[in-house]
Amino acid sequence: MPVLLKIAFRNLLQHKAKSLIIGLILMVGMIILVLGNSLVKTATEGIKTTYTDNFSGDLIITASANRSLSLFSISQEAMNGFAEPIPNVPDFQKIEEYLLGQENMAGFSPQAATYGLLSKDGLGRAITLLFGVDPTRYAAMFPDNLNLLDGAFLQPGEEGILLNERGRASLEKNLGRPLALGEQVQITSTTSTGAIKVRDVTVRGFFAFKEVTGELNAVNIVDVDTVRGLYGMTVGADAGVALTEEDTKYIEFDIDSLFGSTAEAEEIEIQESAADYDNLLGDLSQREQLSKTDSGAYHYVLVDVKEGSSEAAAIRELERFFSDNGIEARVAPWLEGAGANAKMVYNIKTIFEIVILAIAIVAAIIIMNTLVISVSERIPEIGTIRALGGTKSFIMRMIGLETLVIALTAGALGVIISAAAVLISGSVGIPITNEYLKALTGGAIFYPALHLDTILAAFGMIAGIGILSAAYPVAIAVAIPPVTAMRNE
Amino acid sequence: MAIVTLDNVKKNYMLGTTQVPAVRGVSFEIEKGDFISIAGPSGSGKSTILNMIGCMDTPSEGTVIVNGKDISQLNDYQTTMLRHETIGFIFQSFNLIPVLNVYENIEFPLLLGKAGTKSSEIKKQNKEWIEYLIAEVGLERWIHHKSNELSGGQRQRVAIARALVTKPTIVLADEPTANLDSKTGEEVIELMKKINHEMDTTFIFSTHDATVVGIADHVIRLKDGLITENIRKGA
Ligand SMILES: Nc1ncnc2c1ncn2[C@@H]1O[C@H](COP(=O)(O)OP(=O)(O)OP(=O)(O)O)[C@@H](O)[C@H]1O
Ligand SMILES: [Mg+2]
Repeated sequence: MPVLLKIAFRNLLQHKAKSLIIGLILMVGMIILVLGNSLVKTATEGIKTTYTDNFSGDLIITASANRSLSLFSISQEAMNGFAEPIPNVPDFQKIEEYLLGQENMAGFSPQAATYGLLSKDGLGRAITLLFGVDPTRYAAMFPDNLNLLDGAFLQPGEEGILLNERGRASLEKNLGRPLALGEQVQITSTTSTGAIKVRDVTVRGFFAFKEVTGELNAVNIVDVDTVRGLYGMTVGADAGVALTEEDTKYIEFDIDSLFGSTAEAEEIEIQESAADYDNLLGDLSQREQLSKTDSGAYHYVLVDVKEGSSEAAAIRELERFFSDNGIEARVAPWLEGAGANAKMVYNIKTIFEIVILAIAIVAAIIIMNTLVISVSERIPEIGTIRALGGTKSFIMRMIGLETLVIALTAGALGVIISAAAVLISGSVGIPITNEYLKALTGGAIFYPALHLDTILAAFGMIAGIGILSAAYPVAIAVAIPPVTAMRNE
Repeated sequence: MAIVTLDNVKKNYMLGTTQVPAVRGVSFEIEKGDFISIAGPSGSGKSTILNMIGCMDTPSEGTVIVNGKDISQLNDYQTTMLRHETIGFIFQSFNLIPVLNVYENIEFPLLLGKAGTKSSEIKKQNKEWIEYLIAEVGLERWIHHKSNELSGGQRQRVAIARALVTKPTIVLADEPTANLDSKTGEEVIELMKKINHEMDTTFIFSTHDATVVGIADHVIRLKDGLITENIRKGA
């Protein structure tokens, strides 16, 4: 081995330009890998913490029939509810009982979601996503996710709404005066079957989410019964659709006029048709029946898995529980519930990984070319070694070792440079000015963190590129026959 | 017993679709300790024969036996080992490893074997042997120089020492003097002859140079792939 190392080192020194090209490619590759992965990893971990601690919990349970699992898209889907109603979580009591009995569960929050139009005395224009919560469970699961600016969090069993700053500002702008606690505002929405509902709710507080991702701007928190009333989540999941054919006729009529136009027109029309619809429906007894809600009706349950417990294991256990008990529910990790912004970061991660792969392939090709040239320049030398009694494996080790020496040197340099960059920026912080990036990284200053597995993965990648790019040149070198030593140029 | 035996050896090369007969039926024997020149005009088949004796090529027909082994029967690893253990090579273009100095070039064939695992006693012996060979070829002052700092004659002396370092039974040299001026060429052949006497190593070399042929004890003349003369001096 020493003679091989000696030859490898001296050859690398002899052919400085070639060594430098390969070394630089590998070093830059290493830097991109370590820097990029550190940034992406920090961002994804940051967004995971932000979401799981503040909005999404670790897991989300919905009915199996549910198409979308996102907290936000469930509310958004409520807009199309007449087409395909969002099913309730089945057998909630059983699930609740199960969750309460689990050692590895830190908490859970059953919720119902819908959308609505906020108004006050016929004035208003704020479209809102509504999280209908069980106040006790919600506050226990997310004890620190919002700043209450005025008023108090909802009390158990209390009807009411907590308005976020945007909703409040928009209402006050239309009213021309400040909103006071205890005042009633109106929410107009459609039930799962498309019927228009208007509910009065009492303003109990004003708040701001501590971590604002784009989607949360539109979220207001209400008691779950208000959402149930608005969405028509009545006794049993099916009662809400028990409308006569005559009813649906009007519904269809209303719907066409509701959603065909611009936002401005939409809002006005909603109010008009809401009034029409109330008159048309007439039959108050049926309305009351429909608004008598089921205390076990929720769209989804967010679950907090205890720190240090495996989320994957919790999912498996829940799935087993569902199938053992014939519960038609499904459970998914937080990301499915977290919505588009969080997924975006993970998509960026995937895109980054694809880019890295592309760079790796290009790098491997360039390095391969350089090595092929280097081998073809050394045909007489390799032939001589073969003639003198060097085996094919000796030639393989000779060329392989040269590549290895460059790869290790360049890799080590790359790690040092990029690790220093990550550590420095991690202690100083990178200020984020772009609002969108802020939402993605979850803060105004981004602190990238260095992970050992990032470095190891990068070294693995470099080794892979090295092996991949050396394989063909080594094959060429090994195939050089000893008789080439006898030829004279 | 002959160290090298060729029996009705033929070698054809394919040049495109036409067959080129390089050697057309050659038989001879080389005894251990021979100092033999294979002579003949260009294209007569000298290199082709040396390549086969050097286990780097196989005959199209006939047999080539080197140190008791039929080279056509050996695989790549076996011929490599046969070369390493039995044959030393001296090339027309010297073929020193550019990044190694004189000492390292001479040492190199030893390191291709299992030298790495050898005891310090053997390492010491090897060092003395290499230094002896360097003195033998007269390059003591150049021991740490790389090949690009040496003249052609000096390079060929390094190559001679390198060919001898594994104590081979046979040293093969294809036109060892072709890249040297005639005086240096003669000196190189004289050096080979001296070592042939001292160490009883078999030397097989090809040449077109008449004066060089004159130094050989045994001459095989070729023309168009056939032997025209096979004479042993003093025999
Ligand atoms: N690899 C090859 N492919 C095709 N033909 C070859 C090959 N090697 C040698 N020949 C042909 O075989 C014949 C003998 O060649 P060889 O090299 O053995 O001659 P030589 O006596 O060594 O000549 P020189 O004195 O020029 O070195 C020549 O006609 C040559 O053209
Ligand atoms: Mg020749």
